[in-house]
Amino acid sequence: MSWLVPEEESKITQGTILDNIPWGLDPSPLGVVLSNPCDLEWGKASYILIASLVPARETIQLTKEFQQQVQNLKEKVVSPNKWDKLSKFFKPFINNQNITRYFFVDPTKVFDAPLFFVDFQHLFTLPFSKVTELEVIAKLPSPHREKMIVHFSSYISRIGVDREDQEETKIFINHLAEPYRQL
Amino acid sequence: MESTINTNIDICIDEYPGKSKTNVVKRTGTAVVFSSLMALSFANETPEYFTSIFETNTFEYVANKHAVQKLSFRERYKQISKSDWFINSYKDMSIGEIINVD
Repeated sequence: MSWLVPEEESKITQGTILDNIPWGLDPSPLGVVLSNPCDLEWGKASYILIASLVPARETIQLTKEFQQQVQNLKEKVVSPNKWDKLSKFFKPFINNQNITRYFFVDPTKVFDAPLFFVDFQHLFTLPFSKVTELEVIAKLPSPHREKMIVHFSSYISRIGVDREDQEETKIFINHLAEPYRQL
Repeated sequence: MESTINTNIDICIDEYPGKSKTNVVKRTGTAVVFSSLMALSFANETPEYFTSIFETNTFEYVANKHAVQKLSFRERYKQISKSDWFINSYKDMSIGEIINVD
């Protein structure tokens, strides 16, 4: 399944994939518009909010979690059991099942590029008057666009709360597990 | 005109590594037929007219436009993967908190 479709109107709205974004990075990644479509349509957006599209394979393979998955592997060809574990590691990303820093996007049916992650930490705002300098490449269609925004808003609005200490947690576990208890 | 069409298809195939000629012909088929018909009417048009046919057909134009850009994105992302800013930003980073919603 391709996640992207060609943008036929060169119209910039939420989910539009853009090039020529002045990230100040070399080479420069593509980006996807996160701004509210109503704000863009009704002249309420002074700035346009863009998240970067980073290469999914290299990004995930650089993570600690992936390195843990492969740390004891001596060969590149792995056993079916290990491959199953690796598949289980990747599947939630491929299907965007969980909310994380990254949102998976497959651009391959529309243009030749690697699989992407939208990185919700790598953001850029550009004055709306400058959007004519951007090049429209494609768009993320509905409902993937809305799903991406739900993931973004949930990711960005996480609130850190202190966890219960270990002793307190044990008490709660014992209470919740009753009548069952540890041998 | 036939050689012009074949040249254009071959260029498309070059820009679609791994794609079969049949698929590329399908993708460009509408524009090819349309351009052939137009070529009969405008036999004296410049060779660039074939390109402008794509531009009159939005979907084909976009598809063709992206076919031209295909290699550049992949090559650019190869460079991004090796770049200092990318490696410094992502190496040994944790995926972080995972909110299970499925």
